[in-house]
Amino acid sequence: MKTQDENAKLKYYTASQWQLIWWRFRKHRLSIVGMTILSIFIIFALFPEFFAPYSATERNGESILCPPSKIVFKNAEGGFSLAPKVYGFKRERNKETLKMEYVVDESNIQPLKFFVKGEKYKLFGFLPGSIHLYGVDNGFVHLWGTDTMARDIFSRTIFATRSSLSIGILGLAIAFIIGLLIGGVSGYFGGWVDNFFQRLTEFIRSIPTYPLWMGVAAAMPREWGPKTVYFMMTIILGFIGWTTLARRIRSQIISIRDADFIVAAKLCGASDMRIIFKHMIPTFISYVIVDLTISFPNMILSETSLSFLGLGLRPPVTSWGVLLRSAQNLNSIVNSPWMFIPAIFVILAVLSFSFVGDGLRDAADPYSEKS
Amino acid sequence: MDKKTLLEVKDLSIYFNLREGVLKAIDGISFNVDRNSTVGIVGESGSGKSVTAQAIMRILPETAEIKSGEINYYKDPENPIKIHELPDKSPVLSSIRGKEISMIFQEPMSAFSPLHTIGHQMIECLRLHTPMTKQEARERAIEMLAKVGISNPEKRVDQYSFELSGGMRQRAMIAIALSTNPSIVIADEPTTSLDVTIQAQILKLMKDMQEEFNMSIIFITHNLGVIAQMADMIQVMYLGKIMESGTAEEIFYEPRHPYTINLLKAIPKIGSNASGRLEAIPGQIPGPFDIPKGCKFCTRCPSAIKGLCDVRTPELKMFSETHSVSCWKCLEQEK
Amino acid sequence: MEDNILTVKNLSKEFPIYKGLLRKKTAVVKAVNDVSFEIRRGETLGLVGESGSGKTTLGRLILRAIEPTSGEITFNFADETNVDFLKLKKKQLNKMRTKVQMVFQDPYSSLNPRMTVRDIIAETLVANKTMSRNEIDTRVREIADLCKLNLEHLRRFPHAFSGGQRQRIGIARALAVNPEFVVCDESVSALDVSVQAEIINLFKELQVIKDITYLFIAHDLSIVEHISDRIIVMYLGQIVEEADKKTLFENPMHPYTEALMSAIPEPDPLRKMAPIFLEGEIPNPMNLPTGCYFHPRCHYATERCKKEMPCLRCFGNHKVACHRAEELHLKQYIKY
Repeated sequence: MKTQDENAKLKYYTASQWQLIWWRFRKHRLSIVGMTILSIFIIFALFPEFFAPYSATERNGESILCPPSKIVFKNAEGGFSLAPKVYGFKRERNKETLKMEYVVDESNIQPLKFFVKGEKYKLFGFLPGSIHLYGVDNGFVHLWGTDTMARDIFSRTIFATRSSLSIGILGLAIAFIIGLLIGGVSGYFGGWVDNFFQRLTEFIRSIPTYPLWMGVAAAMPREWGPKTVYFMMTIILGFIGWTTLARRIRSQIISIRDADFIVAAKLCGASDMRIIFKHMIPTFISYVIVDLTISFPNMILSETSLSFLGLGLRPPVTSWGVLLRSAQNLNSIVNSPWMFIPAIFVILAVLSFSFVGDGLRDAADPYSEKS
Repeated sequence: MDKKTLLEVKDLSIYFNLREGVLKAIDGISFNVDRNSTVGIVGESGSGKSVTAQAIMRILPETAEIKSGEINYYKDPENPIKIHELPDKSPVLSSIRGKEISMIFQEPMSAFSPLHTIGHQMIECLRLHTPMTKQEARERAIEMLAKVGISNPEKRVDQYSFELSGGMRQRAMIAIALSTNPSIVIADEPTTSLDVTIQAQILKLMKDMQEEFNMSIIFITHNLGVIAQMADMIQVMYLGKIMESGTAEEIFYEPRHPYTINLLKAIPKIGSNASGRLEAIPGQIPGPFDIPKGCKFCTRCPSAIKGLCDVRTPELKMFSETHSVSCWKCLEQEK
Repeated sequence: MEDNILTVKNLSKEFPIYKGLLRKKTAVVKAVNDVSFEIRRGETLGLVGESGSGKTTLGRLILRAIEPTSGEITFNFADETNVDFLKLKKKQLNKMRTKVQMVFQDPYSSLNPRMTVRDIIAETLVANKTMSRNEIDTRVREIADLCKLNLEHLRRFPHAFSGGQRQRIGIARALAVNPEFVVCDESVSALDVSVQAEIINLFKELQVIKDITYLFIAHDLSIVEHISDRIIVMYLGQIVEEADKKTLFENPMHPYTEALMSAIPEPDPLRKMAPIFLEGEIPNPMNLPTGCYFHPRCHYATERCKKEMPCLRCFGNHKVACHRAEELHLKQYIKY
């Protein structure tokens, strides 16, 4: 029988690099927090129809710029009760300012129910369903208020998560593939091939990013439908973002190109492709993943910025940037500050990626001696 | 204390407090360094020989602590300086380290700063320990470089370490170590990274300098050939303990400890006509956290006595005034 | 069957030095300079030299891990004779990799840290694509057993092993394909003394079992003496002396060999060395001396040595590159 000590050792000896990385990653609490938040976002992005009480385009009659619904934990007698209740709003003219305002209508009180049957939807476009996480039987509940077109901001934010995250992921995937090809070929073969690609990389890097985006985005014809614009955005982001990755991959390859174990692989008769993919890439892939994770916020922020400026995604496609765009006027700041709430999602997403990236970076070298 | 003794290490234990646990790098070693003599410390990886050197120089890393024992420097035969007790920033320690006890490292490339010239580093060392002016220090530096056999010392003194070859770098390191006229020089694998012909030159240089400067050398290496040529007294270390201690002749001609005996059998000797097998020591050196109980060598010792060697640390047996062994089997043989 | 498994003729490797903005070739470093020798089947040829001798480069040239600048390499394998190694194209060369292999010096950088031991050992077999997975597994287990690695070890990653064990994994990798010729590039230099003995024994055992020819590169003369049948001494990219072991040690004919022998520290405190000290340092390979490369440091140099490069001359089985080979009576350091 092996002792516990021996078992622990055996686990350590037979652990693949991914297991070692995970064990070290686990120790960073912030990173785990970040990872949890990201997982929640990803779940939102996969099942927005369930989490949002309404669709991204559904309008609540004429209640534009309605403040967030007031939720109380009271029962009929006025005492405390766990079941939340929602007050409705009614529009009234304020006697002093003579403005139309929303006032809490205490008579219009409804219980807030969970897992309600609501609007029908199709998950992923084909799985039918109608259960929503929460909702009310009559009327509307707006956790975060409504926007200028009377649409529930909370629902729109949830749907926007899907666009923003997926643009980031797709853009990054394109950047990764291009970076891997160019960096890999450049580093492995050296010589004039390397020279050529490095000059190309430098050329692209030297173009200032914002003007480049704005130029490309402005060049996109107005007639293009929102979906096309969406795909073009991911491709643009990918095409601009590959330079850092390519550099990183190239330097990694150069540093291990002459290592004994690579020479050994050559002497084993492995083909060039096999050497690059089976021997070299696994050696540094963990560092590249760290780079990818840290680049992610850039992608999200790029998209958000561009959409914020009106140069990115267009309605009816929603993204966090699009949502924030509608918030950028004085009226919102003064009268309907709840329009800024989607910014919290952006902040959380970027922070979470940073935390995860940090944790990964420390864990990414599973064979080093530091903690 | 015997007037001959210059440095006394008594029951020294050094533990490293690491995340994974406590690493007993040295577990109770004792040896003396006489004036004008060379003490060789021979051992393989994990033996603790480098840690010993660092302990004497008090350049151990932060995670290390001198758990117990003494390091007594008998500059004055009546009044030893207790090196182990000196606080880190003590001026006494600063005046000893680098001045009276200096060190030569294995890798001269990494021991020199690549950003400063050799001369700069020598002058800095001299001015730290002596009241010389810059000009005086420079002259002394050139003098030392010439003494260690570097040609064109006036030119070399302004060169950087990477401009010199391996052998010259090592000579320059010796020059720095000797520039303050130390009483003890600790040489930690000084010739391991050098070619064999250069090694011969450096070893001769060290012997010549020892005579000229009247100093003692603590020579640390894993190379038994070099130790046989250089050392008067030899300490054989294994996993943080001294297994056997004696004069060079005693160790090579009358080895008693099974580790020493087997180590000597394991090295190929030219002219021995043994085209057969070398006697390898079975098993491998235990990892730092797997140090065996009792005698550290018991897991690999062909003469280990079960129930004794793996339980209790052997007592010291003296075979002569200078020759001591830490082994139960040797103690038994007497009876 | 041909007697010589390897014949090397006039092998050279030059590394160009580029300087300036336009990267003009300003100088060359001749790492290996017109080297010719043969290795007999089944023997162990030791290759010694100090820094700059070119011995490591030579080992890599023979296996085409680095491409030579000029020369010929001819192998005579059991099933294929007269293989002009340098003329082989990529695909054919890869096929030949099963016949020639290398064991590296540094056990820590010669194993891919992200592959299991089993995969490391099997790499040549897998890359060759001629055996089924089961056959490969059996072969891996066989060779691991010969190299005294447990079955359990096969599942582990290199970070679980000590230097000596890693070196055994490296040997297993080289031998998995049953090569006929193995280059051992300082394969025991990075190991502890007690472990060195083990690995040297393993090399000798495997040579008998598997009928391998070794080219053993090392700088430690005692180890080379123990394991080799014949020895070549190199200096600054050239062969200066070649002889069988006994002859070389009892009767060196080249001044450099003499100096080398005299510098070996003997593990005997009663026999202190009396080394022959060579003047100066090993010259900069970009700035080689005229005539015999060794003449600036040689105690026996004459005018002729300064002008004329000596060629490798045969005295029976003993080859020396020295103008004064016949007249010098060099010291005998070892007596068998």
